[in-house]
Amino acid sequence: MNKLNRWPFSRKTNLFYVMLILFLLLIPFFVRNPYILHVLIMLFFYAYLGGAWNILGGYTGQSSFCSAAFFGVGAYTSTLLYIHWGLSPWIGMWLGGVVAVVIGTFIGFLSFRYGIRGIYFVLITLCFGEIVYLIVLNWNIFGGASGILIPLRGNSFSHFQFTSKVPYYYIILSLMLLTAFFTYKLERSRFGDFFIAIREDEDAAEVLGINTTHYKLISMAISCFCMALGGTFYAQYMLYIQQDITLSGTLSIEITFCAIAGGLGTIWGPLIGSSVLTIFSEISRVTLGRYRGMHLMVYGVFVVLIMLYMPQGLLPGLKGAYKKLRGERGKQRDVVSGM
Amino acid sequence: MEKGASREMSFLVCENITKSFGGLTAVSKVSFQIERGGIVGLIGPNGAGKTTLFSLINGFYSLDQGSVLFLDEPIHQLKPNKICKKGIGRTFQITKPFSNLTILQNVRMGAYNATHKMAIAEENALEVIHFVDLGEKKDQLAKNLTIEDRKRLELARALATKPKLLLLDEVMAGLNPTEIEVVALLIREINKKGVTIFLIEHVMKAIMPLSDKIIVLHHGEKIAEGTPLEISKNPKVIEAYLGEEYQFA
Repeated sequence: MNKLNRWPFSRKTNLFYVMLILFLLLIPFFVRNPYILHVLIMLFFYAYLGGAWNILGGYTGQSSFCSAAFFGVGAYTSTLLYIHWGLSPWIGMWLGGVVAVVIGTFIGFLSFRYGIRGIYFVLITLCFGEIVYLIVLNWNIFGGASGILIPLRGNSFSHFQFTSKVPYYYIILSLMLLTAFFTYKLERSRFGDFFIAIREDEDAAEVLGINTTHYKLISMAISCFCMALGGTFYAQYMLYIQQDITLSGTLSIEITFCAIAGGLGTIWGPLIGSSVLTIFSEISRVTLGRYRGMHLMVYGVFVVLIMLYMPQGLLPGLKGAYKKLRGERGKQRDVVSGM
Repeated sequence: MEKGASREMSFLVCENITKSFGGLTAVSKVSFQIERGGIVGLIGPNGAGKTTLFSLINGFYSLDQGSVLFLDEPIHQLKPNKICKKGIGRTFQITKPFSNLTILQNVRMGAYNATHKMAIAEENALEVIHFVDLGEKKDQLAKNLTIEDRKRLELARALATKPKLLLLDEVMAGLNPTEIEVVALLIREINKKGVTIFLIEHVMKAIMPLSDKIIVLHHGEKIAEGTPLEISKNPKVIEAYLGEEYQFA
């Protein structure tokens, strides 16, 4: 039997995943508290976006700091199409994805074609994010500084609007799980191998016959597409979009944090990162909310501590600590093929 | 072979290759030919432009002037990945392993050059890994390897692309005499399999008996070309490179 196609997990691990997914699916039946549901939705939301970032940043090694731009492209495309032409956001979502892919590959082409790498790619993406932000801020069609309110239609599936939080919970959960599954498949494919080769050493990859420009563009396109879908979800969940929220550098950085803190180039890293960061930020906000700004400081210190003590991310870090505890040294698994 | 004799195809022809970096001419009007099947050595003092010449052949740098023909086809405007697809493999002087991946994963990356199927790529990779004698270490991470094994890995990865011509950039540098013997033997074996070898080497004792032909670069210019014996007697080469200290056995 082909070793590569074999289900890679042990039976116990499979059972664990099935239980975990079942548990996540059943949560809304037991948790009625809208606040807790909201926290969970945001948790999966960041995990999903972190996962999208991870494909480009974690696997292909191209750190993009304009995630919010593509997220915003998705949010604004579907919203504008909905408001002006009444196009259902379910369709606008995919169109937003397509627009993001077009813009993303254009930016990618400009950078990769001329061999822009590393810190310079980061700079380009930062600038691009800022450009998109300014365009939206100053162009009336995008609602300007006051943003766009999406008209309420009550509970309507075709309008992607729900009065309860439960449908949103399932939508974002499926998006997140789909990305995780996609990443899992990617890790075991030729494409994934090429992405990783590019991350590890671009020159070496190129010399081995890998068209690095081409594969970086593909990775960029996938990542942008997922970001845009997240944008539509956010717009429909909040029913209000404004460039300071949807296009801000803060959002880009939060997305990046989730992926990095959880573990770059790992399937579940973004979920772990998002869980820890979201829950911590909620707890610190609730407990320290009285002291204005205090919770953000504590949050910052927390992120610094993660980076100091587990620079490779929470998932690989915790795994390493667990292995040490059990005394399983010697057999070192690499970061990439870890789950 | 007999049939093809009527239409002689040249293997690698470099014509007037020139490359400058700013004011420095790294390679200047170098022309030479390599025939299929042999082992050709490229020597020269430090900074002579040897690695630059390799980078020009495999598309890593673009030429300022001149042309490179591989199997009668101009390749000097192609990117490295396309040149690799045409059948020119290359190793780097400073090895560039994919550090966080295992040896098997490393070599598999090269094997995709010849196939799109992961399973076949893995099979071919394993074959090459056993060939360079890294079989027992195939699941080790590249970053944990010794220098010798890194050189083997670099070789294996390039071999996995199934090249017709293999450019080896100082694969023996940093190895001890016993290891050099082993690698030299390996290179001969690769050559026997039908891969033409073009190698840069500093270790004279290794390159002299290994090569069929040697090209000498000095200050970016070709100053000599010939059999190892001719080269070792060439006064220009002795003056420029071998110096008084070197005595050819």
